[in-house]
Amino acid sequence: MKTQSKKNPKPEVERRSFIRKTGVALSAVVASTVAGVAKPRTDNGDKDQIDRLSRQIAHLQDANAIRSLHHTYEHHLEQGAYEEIVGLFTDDCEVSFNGGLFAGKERGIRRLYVDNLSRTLTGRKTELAAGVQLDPDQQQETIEVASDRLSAKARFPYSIKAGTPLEGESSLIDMARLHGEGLARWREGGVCEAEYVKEGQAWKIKKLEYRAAWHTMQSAEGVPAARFSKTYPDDPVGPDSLV
Amino acid sequence: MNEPMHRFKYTKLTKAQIDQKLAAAAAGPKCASDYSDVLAGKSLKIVTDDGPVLNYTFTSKNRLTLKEGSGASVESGYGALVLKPLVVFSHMLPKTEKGYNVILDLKTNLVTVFEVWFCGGKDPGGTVLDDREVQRQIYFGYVDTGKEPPKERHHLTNRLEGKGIHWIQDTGIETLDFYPSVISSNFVELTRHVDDLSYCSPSDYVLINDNLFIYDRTECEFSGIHTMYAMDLFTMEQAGVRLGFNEKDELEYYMYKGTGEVVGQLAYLEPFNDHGKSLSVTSSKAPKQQPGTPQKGERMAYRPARTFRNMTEEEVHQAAEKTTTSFGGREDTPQMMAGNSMPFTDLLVGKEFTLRYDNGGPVYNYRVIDSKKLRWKNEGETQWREEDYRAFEADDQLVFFAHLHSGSRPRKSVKIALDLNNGLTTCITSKMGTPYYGNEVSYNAIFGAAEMKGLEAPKYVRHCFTDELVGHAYSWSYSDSMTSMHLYTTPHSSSWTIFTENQTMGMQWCAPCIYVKLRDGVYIFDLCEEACNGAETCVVINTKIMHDCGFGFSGGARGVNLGLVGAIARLIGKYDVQRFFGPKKRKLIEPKLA
Repeated sequence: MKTQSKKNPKPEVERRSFIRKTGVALSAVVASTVAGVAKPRTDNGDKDQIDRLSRQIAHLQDANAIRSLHHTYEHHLEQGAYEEIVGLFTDDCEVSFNGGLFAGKERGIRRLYVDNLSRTLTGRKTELAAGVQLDPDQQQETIEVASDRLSAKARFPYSIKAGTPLEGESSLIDMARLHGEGLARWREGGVCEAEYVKEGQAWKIKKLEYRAAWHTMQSAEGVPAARFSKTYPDDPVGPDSLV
Repeated sequence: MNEPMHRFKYTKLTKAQIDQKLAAAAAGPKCASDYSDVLAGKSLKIVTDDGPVLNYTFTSKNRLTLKEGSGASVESGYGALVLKPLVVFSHMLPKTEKGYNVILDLKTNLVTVFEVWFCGGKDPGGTVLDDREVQRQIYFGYVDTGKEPPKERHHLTNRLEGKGIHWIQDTGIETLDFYPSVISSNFVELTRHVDDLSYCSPSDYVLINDNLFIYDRTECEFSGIHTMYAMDLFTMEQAGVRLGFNEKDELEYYMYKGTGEVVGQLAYLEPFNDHGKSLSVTSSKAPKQQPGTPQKGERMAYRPARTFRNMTEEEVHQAAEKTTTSFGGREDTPQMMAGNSMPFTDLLVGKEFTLRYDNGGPVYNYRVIDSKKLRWKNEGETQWREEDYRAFEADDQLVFFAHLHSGSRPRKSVKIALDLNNGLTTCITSKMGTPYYGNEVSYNAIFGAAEMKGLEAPKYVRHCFTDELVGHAYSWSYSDSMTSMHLYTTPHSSSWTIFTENQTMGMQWCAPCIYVKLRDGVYIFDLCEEACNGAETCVVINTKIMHDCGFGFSGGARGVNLGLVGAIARLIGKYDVQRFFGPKKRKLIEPKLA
């Protein structure tokens, strides 16, 4: 395998489809392509073959590690383990969610997950909303590991339940908040685009961007699932900037 | 007791006072019935899951020794009652604030243990608990007979959810116990209290088998008394224990037997495959743990008096001077409680009329300009006042409208039902402030008749207070995000219950209210969340269309607001309880105890 330019590293790409049925997200392998598979045998024969296979294995391991990292992230969201999520990010990470950009692990990310989303149970997986059909591109799970194996990009389809606390001083809302309700809820789905970097031997999330392809309000008129409209600190749990 | 519990100022008993008062408990609980000797001479080793191992030796029918795990043996008085095949026994541990209430199933050797204690410190969410409030932890286990431990256990359940029972104890005490939630219950003290009011308390429900259940409640935010009983729904008998300090700060520690009557069953709306075996409703304030594993003593308790900021009349007035709004202030302002509002009506537009209320009540002259503006004045005044108003057609030709009395001190609003068919009218006059708080609404219903061209109003017939809704439960969906169930518990009170995400009924609270009959199936329901957030909800319920329409009136640091309310209803069920209420000769003053 030829060495690739660092300015234009040719990534190793792995794709999986995203199939959902009755509320459970299932992933099934439909394609797994790794660059260089069809390289002709060289004079060095076995050594080249071993190097190529070693590289393929290493990239597959990276891809699996990233997939596992994403699954861990999703699992923590599902379980409401928001504190644990913070530890999955790099110090200089960014997350773009619901019209806001949250920056920095201990500032923006903690504010988003621990201070904000923990109130709303946001992130729990759901089935696709009735009538929503994803096109094949939106179902593709893609992981691209840079040839230097120090960074990666990925796209993961998602379908989640989201919520924003109902505002007001009603006792109904107060009581509902006590058992984690009192939310204007919606479901949304689309593609979560992510960037990763390797810190030591561990992959960390450097950037997450939720790109919603569909968005279903469950609440009624007058209770909009508002995108972030104010930044921190005007909104104590708001983003660092609006996007 | 003639001071309502939500108004009563319970003494903040100290640990020393509690210790001193608990000394009497070492002799065991009192009881109006004879205790059973079924345990006398026996020893039991009770093993609980994730809880203590309790080694009991019952030296007589009222003395036992207990060795907790490898601890030292402690001697105590106890009492035991039989509710076949169950034995319910209770004891405190001398010189501690702790005791055990145990329900032993002699048929299966399965056991449910309630560890109970005073001086609970803080709850897992950090809330400081009153020392007088009884804490409880439920353990499930079995009697170790040396054989293979049973795999089955008693367990939490939703199978009691929705049931209501009238209980008469051997003490003479009568209660209505409603179980419309998996974590809370309503109860009406038919003999202890002189008012027909219901209250809510955090509760637990345990299933032993299809007909045997265990229930408990702790009167959090009130006396802190803990009531626990096992019940047999075949024989409609109960055996239980009451532990705590009453309004006189006297220790109530007694066991009792009782008989009951099912007064009704409400539907419960969670998925059919949800049997409530695990705690599905847990506090969002408690530290996150594994789902279904709350911390010791954890329970979800609504404590509104602690979070409600009481304001003086002057503070509320100053806030109202800054901000007094009606109907959201702007057309596009979201109305949280009116996502399912009925449409406004223009039935009053262009009309001129006088509403004359009985017994020297007010006389209002009205000229309605358009569908949102009117002018009014007290009869005899020359100056008309203009106000924003909103009106609904709550039933055919029956208008329910409201407006502020701008500039009034304290701020006042009127909600008026005006029947354009028969000329009857009811006015709910409300103002900010009660003798208790400046930011609590006080309200009054006055009845009268309208004078209007084309109307012939009666001179004697009037709208009237009613108990026709009492016992009914409706879910009210204010929007797709906000539904609660109203249970019209008594002619003077109502509870509201919040649904969880899967429509399990969860947190509850209750308040005094009034009901006025306007027509068959059409009622004014007016409730102020007394000693809670002080807000008034005043709606006309039309049971024919299962919809309500009306107004909310409240005030606080943000000012005073007259808002809109509208919800669609489902009938959840009905308790047959009207017969228990109303003026009658009192049956009992104090419980009869041996």
